[in-house]
Amino acid sequence: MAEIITVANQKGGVSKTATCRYIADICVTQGKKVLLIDFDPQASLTKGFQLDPKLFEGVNQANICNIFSQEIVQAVNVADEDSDDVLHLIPSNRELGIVGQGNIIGKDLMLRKFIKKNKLAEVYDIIIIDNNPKFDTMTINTILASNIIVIPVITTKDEQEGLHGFFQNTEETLSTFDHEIKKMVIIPSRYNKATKVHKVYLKIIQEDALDYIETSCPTISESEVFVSKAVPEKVAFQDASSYDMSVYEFLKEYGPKSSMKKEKREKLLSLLEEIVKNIIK
Amino acid sequence: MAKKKELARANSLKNKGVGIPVITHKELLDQKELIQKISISDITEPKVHDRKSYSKEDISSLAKNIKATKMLLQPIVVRKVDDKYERIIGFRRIKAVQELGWKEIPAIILKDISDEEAMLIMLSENIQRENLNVYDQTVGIMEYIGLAFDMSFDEVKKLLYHFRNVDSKTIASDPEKSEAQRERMESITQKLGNISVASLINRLKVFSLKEIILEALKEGKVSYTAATELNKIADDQKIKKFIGALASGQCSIKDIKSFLKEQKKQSTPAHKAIKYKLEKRDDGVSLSINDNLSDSQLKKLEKFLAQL
Repeated sequence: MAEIITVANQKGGVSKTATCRYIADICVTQGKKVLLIDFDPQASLTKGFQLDPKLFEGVNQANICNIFSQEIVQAVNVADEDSDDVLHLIPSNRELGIVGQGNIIGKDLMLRKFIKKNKLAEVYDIIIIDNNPKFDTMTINTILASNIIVIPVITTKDEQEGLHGFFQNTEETLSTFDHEIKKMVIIPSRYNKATKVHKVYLKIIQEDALDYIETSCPTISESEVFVSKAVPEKVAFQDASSYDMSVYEFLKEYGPKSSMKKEKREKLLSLLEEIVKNIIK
Repeated sequence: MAKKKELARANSLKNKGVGIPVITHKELLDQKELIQKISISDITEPKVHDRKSYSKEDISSLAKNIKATKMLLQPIVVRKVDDKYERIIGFRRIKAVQELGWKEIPAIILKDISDEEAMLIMLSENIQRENLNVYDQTVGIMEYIGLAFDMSFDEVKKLLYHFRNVDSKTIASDPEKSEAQRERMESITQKLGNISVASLINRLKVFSLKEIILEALKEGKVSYTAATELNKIADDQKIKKFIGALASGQCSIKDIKSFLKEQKKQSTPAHKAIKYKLEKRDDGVSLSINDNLSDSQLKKLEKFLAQL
């Protein structure tokens, strides 16, 4: 059975999409069959594969909104040409933000039902879901469909405090729907060790997050919760996204052309591999 | 190749009820039916006849519905002609979203569609819809026949009149010329609107309708049967009154029919001049009447004779 990972945080700009991409690429490199689901109406994951979200609006086999009517949804093959890799994407579009507002019975459980009905956990080894920067029906759907929650977070005061809100909402969702998760992984992202605030708040998050969950979130604390190593803020992330690639793919293919020295590149690659290993292990 | 194999595997799994269909980026762009947002200003009207009339209230209520759901649940259908999009289906939806101030509309863009195919899609959609009026429907079917037979509209009309005359035996049929055509036409009208050539011929009356009646028919105020009855009334004012009453449900076709009957009675004079011949004879006068007289006329005559 596949691991189903939702990458969520109600804050924006914490590199949710980039995280989805490198988890996917690392898993594909290991020969795993991966399905990406873009569950964000802003469709940044979809755009990252050079797909125009407008193509999927309206009455369309590949419209993700079909999930809410339990109709068929097409996936797009986004693996490299001429490779044996299995990397499929269910693209998103603007309409996803509207359909979730509708009055549909059991609308919080639609994604879970869709995955179950189509036995996607049997077809794929890993399913990764990207979220919008909110905590709404869409987020609840992805949490209730997953067994692993990955939370990228930026190490500043605001973000650290915002994390509490996210924990509370997640706790409420899990307890209301009596849903168990296996793991919750907090990934400090876009970390700059030269910035004092980052250094201080990395430490606070490392201690406080677990503390907070232990004391205030009984359902979450039944699962394995940990803070991973911090992912540094590197120009390579921006470079990769301008090439419509994951940072992992970019460093592997275009590494020598990037501004990073070989040693640093390899360090970053193995750091990402380690983080992913800890998520999926 | 490897990739194709993988897709085939995914899709074959799909057939077993496992997984979802997967397509490639190229296939996605090559799909015959591409659904995309297009700019409303790029949409052109079809060359052929389609619905020309519509009710403002109908469009407004559709606009209200679209506003409530905030999206168009069904895209319109267009085909690409040069850099514009020719509308095939979605006249009302375009009008409605224009009313809402939309600049773009989701559309199914059909590729490699011939005039005939486009027209068939348009007509079969329109004709099957109940609210398309008989006039637009008839013109639409005839235009399609024209396209299929490579004839002008007037030639189609002439051919239909020819069939009508053959049917009513006013002219002899020319088996070589018309029977095969009739058969082909029958298959077209059945395919399009599920109507027979005979009923299409019957509908030719729409072309002889008075302007005000035709307008009322197009606006859906009167039915086709009512329109043909109304056309028998000479007085335009009376027709207007009837249209108003029909539209508001205050009268029915029955009322028109009885009005026509009444009018006919009145036009045959009730007091016909009595044709008689008076002849002087030695013993007086002889009166010969060559008409059957009603009781009242007889009485009058008796009175007259008594006076004499």
